[in-house]
Amino acid sequence: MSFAFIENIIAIIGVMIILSVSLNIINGITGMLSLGHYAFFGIGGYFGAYLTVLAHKWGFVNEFSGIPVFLLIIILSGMAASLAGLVISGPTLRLRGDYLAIATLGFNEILKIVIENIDFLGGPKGYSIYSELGNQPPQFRSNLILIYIFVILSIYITRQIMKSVFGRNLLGIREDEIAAESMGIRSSKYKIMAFLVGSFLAGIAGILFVMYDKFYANPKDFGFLEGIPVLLMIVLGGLGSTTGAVMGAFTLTVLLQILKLIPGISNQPVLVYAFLLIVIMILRPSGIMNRKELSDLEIYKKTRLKIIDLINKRHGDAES
Amino acid sequence: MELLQQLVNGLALGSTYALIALGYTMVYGIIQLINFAHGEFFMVGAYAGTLVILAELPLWLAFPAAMTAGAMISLGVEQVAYKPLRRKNAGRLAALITAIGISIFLQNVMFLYPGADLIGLGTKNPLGMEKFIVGEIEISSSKAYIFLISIFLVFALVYIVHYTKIGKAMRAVSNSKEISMLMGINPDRVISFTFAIGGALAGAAGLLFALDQNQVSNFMGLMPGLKAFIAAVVGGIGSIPGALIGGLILGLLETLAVVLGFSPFKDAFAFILLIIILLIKPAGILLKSRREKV
Repeated sequence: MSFAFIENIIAIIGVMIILSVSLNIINGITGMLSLGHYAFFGIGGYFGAYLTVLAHKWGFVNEFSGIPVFLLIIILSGMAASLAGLVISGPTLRLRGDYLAIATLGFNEILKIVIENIDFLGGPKGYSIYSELGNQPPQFRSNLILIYIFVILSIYITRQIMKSVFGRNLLGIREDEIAAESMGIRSSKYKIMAFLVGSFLAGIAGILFVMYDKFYANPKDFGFLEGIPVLLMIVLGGLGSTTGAVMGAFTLTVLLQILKLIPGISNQPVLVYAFLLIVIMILRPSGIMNRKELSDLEIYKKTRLKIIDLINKRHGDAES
Repeated sequence: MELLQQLVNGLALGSTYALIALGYTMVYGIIQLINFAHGEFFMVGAYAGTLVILAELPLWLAFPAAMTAGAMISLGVEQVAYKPLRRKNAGRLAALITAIGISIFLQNVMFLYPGADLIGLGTKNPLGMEKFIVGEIEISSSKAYIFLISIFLVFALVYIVHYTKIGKAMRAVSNSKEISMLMGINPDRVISFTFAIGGALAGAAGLLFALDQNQVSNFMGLMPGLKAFIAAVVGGIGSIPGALIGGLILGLLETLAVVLGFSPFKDAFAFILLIIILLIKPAGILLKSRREKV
């Protein structure tokens, strides 16, 4: 249990939080079951990796411009994933829940097959920034601080969405699409927008993941089966709850890391999480948080009041 | 002639898809659930049949074994997972996520026994590699068997659904669950029966597929399962002739893709077909589109 090992787990938790929060916008809040979320993750990763190599080859990167260029690449990767989100949500949003699931799954698999057959992206071997740059590491990399800045940003964005009319409309579409439409909500427009936001954040998670320390984008990391744990995270936390998504991402990532240490099932974490998924759905389909947020919980409200009281008392004492 | 040859291969492949698609379509018709784990019933059936063949028992014993195994696992999953969900009125999203979980669980259970993830039939394959010649085309006997057995099973199913009492009950429940209850039908029993029949067909398809590929593996159900679902949607989900037509179309399309030299992309073709069909005729080829009403 070295420091690097723990640091690595914390980084993975961060990436998973971004992914689960963004998937929650599509699956939990809008109620569209998308199984192709890892496609956006992969597009962000590949696109960002390719841009990184280009930036180095064209000499944009020196010791001063590293961070700004990297930030730009992160945003562009998110936008590339967003564009893919637009492409996939356009034709599929007329589909009802279960068809949408299969269509997005298909999109993910098509993308994986296409990437595996593109030569300049390394084909099935994957795209290594390291070897593209002549066995040099890139000048910049993602680190814990950067990852957690985006974690906070994604949670903040989701929170703001939930407070806005946009978020209310999404909830309305989830509860009853026909009723929402008859209230004047253009459901297709809002569904596309939900896809755009979700895929944008997933793309950012992708480039942060690729640039963490491997500098390597592998098509095998972005298949739909690999993405099932993220679905489990938001189901475990409670579909529709951002707090739940964060909790699910944390619990499950730690659980999977612990499972890796146990001999016997260390090769088969998949078996364990598939089993968990079934058990949760049968026993408590609403997950841990049951659509509630942290700020909805009694204990949070009480503690908050207590703290405010405490601060007021201090002030009062100081004044008298 | 090459093309005619491939036509035969496409029909054999397509009829396997059709057999799996029938299970999807029946379950969907009766409880509006996409049984994601259906591809895994196919895999379990393939394993059961292969074990019988590897024990050097005759082929006519392998089919009942595969079909029983498929029916048992299908029934088991229905009882353990879907029934409690139905009782709770958990909604379609919950059921679909559970189905995905079951699918992945069954795929990976095989890893618990070392070496079980890939079993070859080797020379014990009873269909062998003989070929017979019709006109100018060579037909390998295994492809012909696959096609004939599949078509026989499809007609057996049509007979059950249209000319038996339980088949009548199935049609009644899929029409309206409430009214069929008033008529003295126990919908739970009918649903279980539907799952069992779908599982049995998937098991038989699995054995046919295994004989064709000469091996079984724990992930073999994933792609055929998804493609069979696509076949069901293409033909019009809920419709039995639709599943047959959809399966054959998909099988021919896939063989065509290989002939045209797109073999690395052959899996992508099915998904593209799905998206196109959903865009232009969302209810499938054989069914009329219905607007969703409140």
